[in-house]
Amino acid sequence: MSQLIQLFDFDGGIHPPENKHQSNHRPIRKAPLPDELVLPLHQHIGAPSKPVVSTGDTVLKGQIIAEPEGFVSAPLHAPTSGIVKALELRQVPHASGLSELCIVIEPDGKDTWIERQSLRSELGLSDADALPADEVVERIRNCGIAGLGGAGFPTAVKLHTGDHNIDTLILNGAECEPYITADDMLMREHATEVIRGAVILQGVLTAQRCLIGVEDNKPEAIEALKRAVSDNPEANGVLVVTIPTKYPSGGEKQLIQILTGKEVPSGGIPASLGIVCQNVATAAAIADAVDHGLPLISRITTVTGDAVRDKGNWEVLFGTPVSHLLNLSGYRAQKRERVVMGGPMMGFALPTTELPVVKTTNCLLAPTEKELPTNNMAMACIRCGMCADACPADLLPQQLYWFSKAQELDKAEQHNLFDCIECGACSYVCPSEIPLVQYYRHSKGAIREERAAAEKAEHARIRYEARIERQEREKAEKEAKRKARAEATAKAQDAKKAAAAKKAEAPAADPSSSNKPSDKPAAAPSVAAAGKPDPNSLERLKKKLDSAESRLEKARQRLSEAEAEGSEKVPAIREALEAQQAKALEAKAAYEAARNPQPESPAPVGTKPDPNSLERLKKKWDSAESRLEKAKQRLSEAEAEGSEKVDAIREAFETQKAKAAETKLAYESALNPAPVQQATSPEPVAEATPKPDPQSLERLKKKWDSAESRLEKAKQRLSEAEEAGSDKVEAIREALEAQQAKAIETKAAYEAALNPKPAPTEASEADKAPEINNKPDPNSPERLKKKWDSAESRLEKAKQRLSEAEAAGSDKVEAIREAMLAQQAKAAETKAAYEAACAPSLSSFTETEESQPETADVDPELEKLKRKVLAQKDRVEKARERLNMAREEGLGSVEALERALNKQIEKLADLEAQTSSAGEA
Amino acid sequence: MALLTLSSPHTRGTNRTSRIMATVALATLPGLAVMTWLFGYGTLINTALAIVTALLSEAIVLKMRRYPVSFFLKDNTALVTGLLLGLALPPLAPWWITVFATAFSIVFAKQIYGGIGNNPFNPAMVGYALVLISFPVQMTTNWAISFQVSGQDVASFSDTLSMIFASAPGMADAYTGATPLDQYKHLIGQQTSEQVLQASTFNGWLNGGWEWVNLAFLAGGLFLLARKIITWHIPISMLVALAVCSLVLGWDADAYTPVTLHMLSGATMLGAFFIATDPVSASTTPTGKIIYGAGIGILVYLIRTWGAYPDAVAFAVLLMNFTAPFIDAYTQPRSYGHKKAKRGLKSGDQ
Repeated sequence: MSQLIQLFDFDGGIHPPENKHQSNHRPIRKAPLPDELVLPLHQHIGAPSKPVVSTGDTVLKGQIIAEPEGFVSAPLHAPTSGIVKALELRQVPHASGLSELCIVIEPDGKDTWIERQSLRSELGLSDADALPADEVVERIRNCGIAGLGGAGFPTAVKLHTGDHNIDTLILNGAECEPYITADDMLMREHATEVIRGAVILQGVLTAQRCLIGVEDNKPEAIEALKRAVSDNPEANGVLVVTIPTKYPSGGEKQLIQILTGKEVPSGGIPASLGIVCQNVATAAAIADAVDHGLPLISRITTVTGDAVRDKGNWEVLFGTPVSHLLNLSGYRAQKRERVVMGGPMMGFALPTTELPVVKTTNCLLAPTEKELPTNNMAMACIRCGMCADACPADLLPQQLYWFSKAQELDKAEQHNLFDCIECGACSYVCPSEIPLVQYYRHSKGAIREERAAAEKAEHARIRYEARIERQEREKAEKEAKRKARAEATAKAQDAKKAAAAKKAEAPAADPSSSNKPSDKPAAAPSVAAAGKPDPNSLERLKKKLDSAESRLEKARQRLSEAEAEGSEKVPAIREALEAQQAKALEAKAAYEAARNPQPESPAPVGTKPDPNSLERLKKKWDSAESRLEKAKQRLSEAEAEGSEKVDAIREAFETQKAKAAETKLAYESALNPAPVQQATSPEPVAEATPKPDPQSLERLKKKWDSAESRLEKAKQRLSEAEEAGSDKVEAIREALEAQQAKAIETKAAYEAALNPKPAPTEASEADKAPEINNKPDPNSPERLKKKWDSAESRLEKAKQRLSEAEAAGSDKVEAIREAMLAQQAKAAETKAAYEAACAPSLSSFTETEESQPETADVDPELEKLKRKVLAQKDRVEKARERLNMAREEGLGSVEALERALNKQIEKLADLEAQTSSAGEA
Repeated sequence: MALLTLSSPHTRGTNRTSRIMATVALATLPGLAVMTWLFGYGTLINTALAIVTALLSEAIVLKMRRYPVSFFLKDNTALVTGLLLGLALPPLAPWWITVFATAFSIVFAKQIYGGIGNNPFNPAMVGYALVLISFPVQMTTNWAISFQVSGQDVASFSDTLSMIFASAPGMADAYTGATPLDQYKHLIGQQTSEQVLQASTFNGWLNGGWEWVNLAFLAGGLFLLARKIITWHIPISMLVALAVCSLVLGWDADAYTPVTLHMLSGATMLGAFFIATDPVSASTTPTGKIIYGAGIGILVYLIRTWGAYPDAVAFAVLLMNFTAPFIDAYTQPRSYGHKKAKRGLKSGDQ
């Protein structure tokens, strides 16, 4: 038959021994059912499909067992009827040798089909009607058809050609790889289906012509196809083209060049030339899918190579183990055992034969050493240029090799490394037996990695900048709010001043009350000590504010200098500036807070500042400061090391700083009101005490609220990060936990401020009997108990959640477990606190009973120490626990935790020594 | 059971470096035979000596570098280097010239750069240029003249041995003389072309035997082309450039060496097919090879005509060796799917 088109040649190419005769002399056989079918969810290019069956389900042949996920994906169908035995990770046939999720089906041997029908009858069309293109594409997608030539690209996706006007459909029947005869046999035996598929595809693409390219070493196939074309009245646009045998004529780009003389632009797709290329086997599968409703559940696979006795082609169900097929073919394991999936030029060697046949398995080649000798030692490249002559992409393989070897990736890329189709022709002809293709693969991988890293860095930069921006914005908002508030208070003050000025004519109480304080100190000396600071502290705060502002100014200057110089340290300096800014604001706030209450002090504030709470606040502040110190150290260490976690640590540092400032503020605000109370409410003690300070209450409430809202935000951020698979999840989680702790703290503070019921009694008691140990808040154990209880109940809940998550195999298990552990620690803490609160009261009782006369004044000190020891012990315990956890999980923080533990132990020893010395005294 | 997992391709052609080199060596045989026939046993002895020296030096350096000696000796590249050097040196050059040149080319021009595949310069030509510069007298006075020119039988094997190894000057005088290229260049200032060609060296019109040598190397070169060991680019462009130069610049035979003499005497064919085509030090892109070959042709003409040395292949090749990497960078072929070829080494789009 005459060929109506002009053929072109592609540059390069080789003529390796064909070795096709071994496997193409006998018809395709149907492989019997194996004991189990292992179906990887990722048999195509694109996203893996999503299983829709679960273990124990009964499935019918052709039933969908996994649905496509996303556009570039393909569904998966049960190749036979049976039971889903497992959904588990199994090694899959991929060069990486990785394991992926597979559906394992145990066949029931009945091979019961699901109901299936042709697209025509499904749509209720008569034979005369044309099939609607989108319905055909949908059917192709639903039948799970992916390119059977070897790449496995979802066919339906390839048929979405967008704006490209397709005029030529090319069916690839070249099968240029040596040894493989699967397409050859398919064309011989299923020529009708191939041609029918061509007609369907042509209809979908509205292509004027369809060229089927077949190498001239397959005369039977060509004959069969031509017969099928003349038998099919619809196939008048289909042309079977015989092309010269030359490897790699079956490469999509090369076949297009041979048949049309056009080159697919580098990085482009054939559709841009008006061409779509499909494999002949894919066309046959499309015909089956459209005309018979057959999903893609099997393919034709060549089993060949001298290590198998019985070479030939099999129709194999997907999921059939390679070993099953090899055994059917009389496989004799060699000394240097090798099984290649695909051909000798581009196939990959399987790590084991216990791998399933998948949609792309066109050949299993089990060669003997004699047949395909393994490589000798590679010699040096002599730049003979034979590789360049063989390269079908017109590259300079020897240059690419030198660049790859020298890791000059940019030069390799410049020499069009990514146009390499990895056909292996260069390696084949290389007289020095250099594994050229491996070098290219390696370089490609390295370049891709580099690109990914650059992209990641870019993302990080964008994220960082966004964060800075957000922080600045939030700061500005806060500042605006604060200003508004300050203005409001200023106005109120003015109003009050005006009112005071009016009142000034008839005042007698005011000056007297302000002069009175000298009466009180005797009754409460500690308070007197605390009462002093006001004028002082105001001054101090003012000074602080001034210095902070001047430092801020300096920091600003430094920043602008750094920016002008384009120094690398700009971000660091900017951050420092921001910290300074925050500090200045804080100082200002503190100053204003200290200044305002004096004139204001409208409410008869609670008696004296609870000395306990004052102390506690001081302690809190101190510990926050020390923690801040540590965080600073850690940060500078991380910066010195150039650790990746610097950002995270810096964030933690900043939260720590904020906390320290907060505690300080809390302490100072607790310290300051004292004089006020003295000044204003000397007499109405009984009335005043029960009411908690509304102002501070409000502030605490606000604090709590803001902590809660921040916690909410942090939670959100964490879940977002988890979804995005960000690697900062850990850092964010830590921050979240810190936030959680803070929220609880603020809540506790608020509650403590809200329920100061004990205070009055205490106060009155203290008034009545000042020598009685008033420190262990009598009510506090109750509260602590409550806290403990709630912590326990929350722990219970967390445990439950964890076990649920574990059962569900959720990937958040780790996070939940951590939360649970944190909860546990908290429960233990509250318990310890409760016990500590209970125990001393008991012991103090006993002690006072035992040695009332002398120890009465020593007791409180000793008790305090003892309590401290207990708390410290608890802390040591916790640190140890944390360390163990870190060790178990192999976290990087082990060392730091060890150090922390040692410090705690030291502190404990210190305290114990103090206690014993105090006890002796 | 762990299977062998090698990366594709799993099959290889039968091409091997050792076979390529053996084929090159085989292709020199006609030239070697003709030289022996015309000039006596000198070339044969020199060649054998050079090959032995080359293999020995290679073995010693490989041993010092702790490389597998027999594995690399079997690649036959040292053999070819020695062989080409033996063919290029004057047939009656004293033995130490041959040994020195060969050892230097293997040790310094090849192994010190990293051995096979890593030498930027053609090792044989480095050795040749070294002795040509260092020992100009020995390198210009030991050219045997063919029996056709001298009218006497070539020196006997034992005489040749003593001339080479014992450096008997008196004996050598009878068998040596100026090469045609040398003589023509010297005489053409004083005589017309016709008068010069009357000298016995030219045998009336041609080159006193050198035409046979060149034709023999041409035959060997065509064999290499046929076996696809070399491509046509370098030899053809070199010969064409040389011919064009001598036709255009040297059209006046009374002033310049005529084209026939350029093409068929000296090391023209040996250089074009066996020396300039050394893949390691030559350009590798198709266009690059043409530029590289043409450059050698032009340089050969320039040096032969206006230089101090009668022949110029060694210098021309070495000079072009310098340019090969640069030429390669600017003559990349247009790859499949690209609108135009890339130039240079700078990365960038298109």
